[in-house]
Amino acid sequence: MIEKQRNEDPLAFEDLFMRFSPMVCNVLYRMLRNKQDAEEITQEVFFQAYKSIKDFRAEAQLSTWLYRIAVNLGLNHQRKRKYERWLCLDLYSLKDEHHSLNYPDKISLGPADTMVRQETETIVREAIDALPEKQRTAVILSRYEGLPYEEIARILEISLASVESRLHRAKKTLAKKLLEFQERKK
Amino acid sequence: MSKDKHGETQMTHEKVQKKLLLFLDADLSFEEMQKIRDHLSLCPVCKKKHDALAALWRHPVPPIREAPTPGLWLKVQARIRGNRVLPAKRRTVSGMPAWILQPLGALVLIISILLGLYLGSPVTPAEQVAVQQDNTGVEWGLDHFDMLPPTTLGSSLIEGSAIKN
Repeated sequence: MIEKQRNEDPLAFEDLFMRFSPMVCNVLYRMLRNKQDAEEITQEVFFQAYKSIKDFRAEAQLSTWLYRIAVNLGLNHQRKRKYERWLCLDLYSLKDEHHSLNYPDKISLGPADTMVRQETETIVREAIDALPEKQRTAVILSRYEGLPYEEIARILEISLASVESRLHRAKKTLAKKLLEFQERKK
Repeated sequence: MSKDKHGETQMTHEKVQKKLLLFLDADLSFEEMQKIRDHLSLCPVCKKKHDALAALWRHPVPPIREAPTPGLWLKVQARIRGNRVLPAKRRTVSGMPAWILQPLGALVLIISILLGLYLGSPVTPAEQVAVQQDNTGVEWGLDHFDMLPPTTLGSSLIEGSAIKN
């Protein structure tokens, strides 16, 4: 696919988009919690990928490379939105970001089960959102994308020890927050 | 870590609770995993917390399969061809475009600073004269406070004690 793309085969990039766009869109949706923003950045990810695919080194996996672009652009977007919100008091976006995610599920659950499951996930999700940016990204890639630590290290361009350290600290903070939540619930 | 009656190192409740998520994900060394396992088998409080956390953390992560909208490829194609597709303009709750709020916010900030400077400015000369007059009044009052009548309660007490002695 990469070779075809390098030879400027117009269909090759469309194939690449069709294959990887759900993955890119999902990780951005997890990071930004807003479908419109996720699609906007997905568009940007593939545009950047198109521009720099000639420089892509075959030793890296294509998915890792696309994840890396997506995570970097997603983080930039998050910082920009944070700054805009601070400057403009953009209440609309604040409201939008606090919507719980809508999880389409293949396993059919009863309404009560679905509710409990969504509530549980919202609690965990809010605790994750409160983490520092670097730890949060590592947790999203590990917990939600199910990526091994080695791949997270390649995506974030950090050492394996740094990934372990970030996740270690994140999980300690999360344990504290989730236990506090359980205490308050009582 | 503290030592139990057998002299072996034991993890404190706080340390165990801090590491519960790492324990659940088996992200600890074999030795630490074993220590936490031992602690949980003896401590009902930590065991309860472990179970509560496991219920939250170990429930299956719901898969998001947010497929991009069908028109997204066309947008990417358009960008590749050089026709940048601009994102939809954001609007705030009030219906105003978001960009207008930036200069508006800056303007409000400048007005607030100017107002603060005006309200907190130093006193005018006329006010200064009034303040000085007030101070003179206070000083005059204090001077007169020193000149107490000869037979005050204090002086009579002093005199009384002098007579006794």
